[in-house]
Amino acid sequence: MNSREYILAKIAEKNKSLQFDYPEYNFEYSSIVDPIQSFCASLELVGGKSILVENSKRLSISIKNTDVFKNAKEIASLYKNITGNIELSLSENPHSLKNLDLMIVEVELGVAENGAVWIDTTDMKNRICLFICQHLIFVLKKESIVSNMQQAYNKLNFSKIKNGYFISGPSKTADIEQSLVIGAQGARSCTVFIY
Amino acid sequence: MKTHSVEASKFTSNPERVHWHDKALWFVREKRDKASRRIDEWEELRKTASQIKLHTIANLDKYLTEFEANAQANGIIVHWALDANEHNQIVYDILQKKNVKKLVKSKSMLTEECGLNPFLETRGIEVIDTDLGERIVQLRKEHPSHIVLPAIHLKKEEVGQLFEKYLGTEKENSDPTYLTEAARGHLREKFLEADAGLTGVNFAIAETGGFVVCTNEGNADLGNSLPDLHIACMGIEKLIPKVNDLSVFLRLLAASATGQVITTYSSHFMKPKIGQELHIVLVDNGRSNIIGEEEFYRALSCIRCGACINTCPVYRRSGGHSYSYIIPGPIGTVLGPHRGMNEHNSLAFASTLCGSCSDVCPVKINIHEQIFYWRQRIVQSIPQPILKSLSMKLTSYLFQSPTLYKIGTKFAKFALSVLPSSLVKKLVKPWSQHREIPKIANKSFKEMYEEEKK
Repeated sequence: MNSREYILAKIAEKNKSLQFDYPEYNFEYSSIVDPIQSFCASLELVGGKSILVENSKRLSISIKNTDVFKNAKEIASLYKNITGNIELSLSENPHSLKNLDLMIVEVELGVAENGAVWIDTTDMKNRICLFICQHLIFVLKKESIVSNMQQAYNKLNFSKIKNGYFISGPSKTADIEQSLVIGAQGARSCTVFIY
Repeated sequence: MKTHSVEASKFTSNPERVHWHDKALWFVREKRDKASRRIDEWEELRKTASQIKLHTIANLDKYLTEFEANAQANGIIVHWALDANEHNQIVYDILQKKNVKKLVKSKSMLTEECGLNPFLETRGIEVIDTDLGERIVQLRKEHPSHIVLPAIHLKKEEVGQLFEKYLGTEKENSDPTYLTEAARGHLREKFLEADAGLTGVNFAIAETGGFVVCTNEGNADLGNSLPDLHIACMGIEKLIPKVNDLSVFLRLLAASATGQVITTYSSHFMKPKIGQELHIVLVDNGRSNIIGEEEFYRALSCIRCGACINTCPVYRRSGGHSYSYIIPGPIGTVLGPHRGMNEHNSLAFASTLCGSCSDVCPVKINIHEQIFYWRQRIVQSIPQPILKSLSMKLTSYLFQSPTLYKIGTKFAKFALSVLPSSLVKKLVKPWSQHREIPKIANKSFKEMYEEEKK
């Protein structure tokens, strides 16, 4: 008997008398009245920044006007209206992205209660770009902001998704005497442009 | 063999340090409270999470097979480890096959439980713990003192000195931002040099065969996205039935752990990235036995948030290194003795049974009750100090007879009034070490009651 069989047999023996039903639950309801405003507040709480752009035509210009864009030497973009100088799909080796300054991603979902955006990386070449970059910029449609995590998971199709991330704000740590440091090992800043 | 009271006395020999540690942990507890109040349905979430976990335990074999089938269909290689040694051997074999010399790891209490690091290091593999707190304790050659905040027992000056020695930082610079920046550079080098990345697993989902890793720093994802080998290690109890269950657990985990609404990264893995091998090691190491324990199986619901540790008045004032088990605090106290009642026999007694742990547990484990059950088990199985067992027997005998009780208390009152307090203190050491002998009232409650009645 190999370990797998042994373990499964042991569990089946031990939990024979346990009876607990799977609970019915629904946490879709949220008391949040203004998801956009709530998203911005949540994002700020986690050390991120939100920029509302009324006119989507000005979006690219707004992004290019940010300090992180202006100061970036290497920029990669998965936002259709901005071309970076680093082409992700051409980077054979994730290591070649080690000097990536700025990563711009158009995202499909934002969650108001925690300021997180969802990125589906199932078909993304070099997902390392999200973590190795110094700064993150996300582009998010107003209508794509839901209120809470149940609403978010309702929208995600996990029969298709094979890899993805909720990212809420910049990387952080409080491991040194509980002092919060924004910009730990991943992105130092996280800006979400909402249009 | 570590005894909590002996180890704790080392910690408490520095009262200023104790107060500092106590305040630091209580601060985290308060952050948890604030976060929990932000969600109206917090208590409903706890109840649901508890039910999901109990249902999973009751059907764990079914969900594990479902998980395995779905994971394998997506190209994840699934391994089963009966015990710690098999887990270590499996990980080593995977690494050996790919000629791995440098491994980067993100936080995994399971690998601490199995002793993975020393196992690999003696076989010539360099292991770098990449979570900042874990790297700090790794450089200090210590164990983490908390499952979420590994270096909570250290002051920034101590980290400064450590980094000066190992990372070449400026002398006497203990600014956390400066030190974190130094670690960032140091660890990025390690990520780029690594041949493989190993992570823990916060939740494994039976429905999809995928798993989720929740982190703040970015180290887990740097570690598993650069090399072409990712190994994930998990205790079998980390399973949950459905993807949607994440909407419950992800709202409870970070809030309970650190008071955050969510961790920076909630990384979902269902299949290996192109060109990468993705392995998952399912570890039993005694968990299947616990399922059969009526008093204790609920502890398998644990999602390793550390809320119980933060709130525990004893942990706060004694620190993680006072505990004989790798996981300290209340949950460590109820998990540890399964590994060896003798080795961990002091833990259940390092508790006031205040129940604060059970109050903050996001999955509603009855931790303080399990601590009490362990006391009963330990006392029945392990010979207790003669003074303790004799005095318990005597007291029990006395309490069973109203007459003897009356005589006994009258005698005690007399004795306490004539004996010098220094002698009395000697008789009831160690209880009296930090306590004064209480003043005895003139009349007992019974006497007063009888008088009132007349």
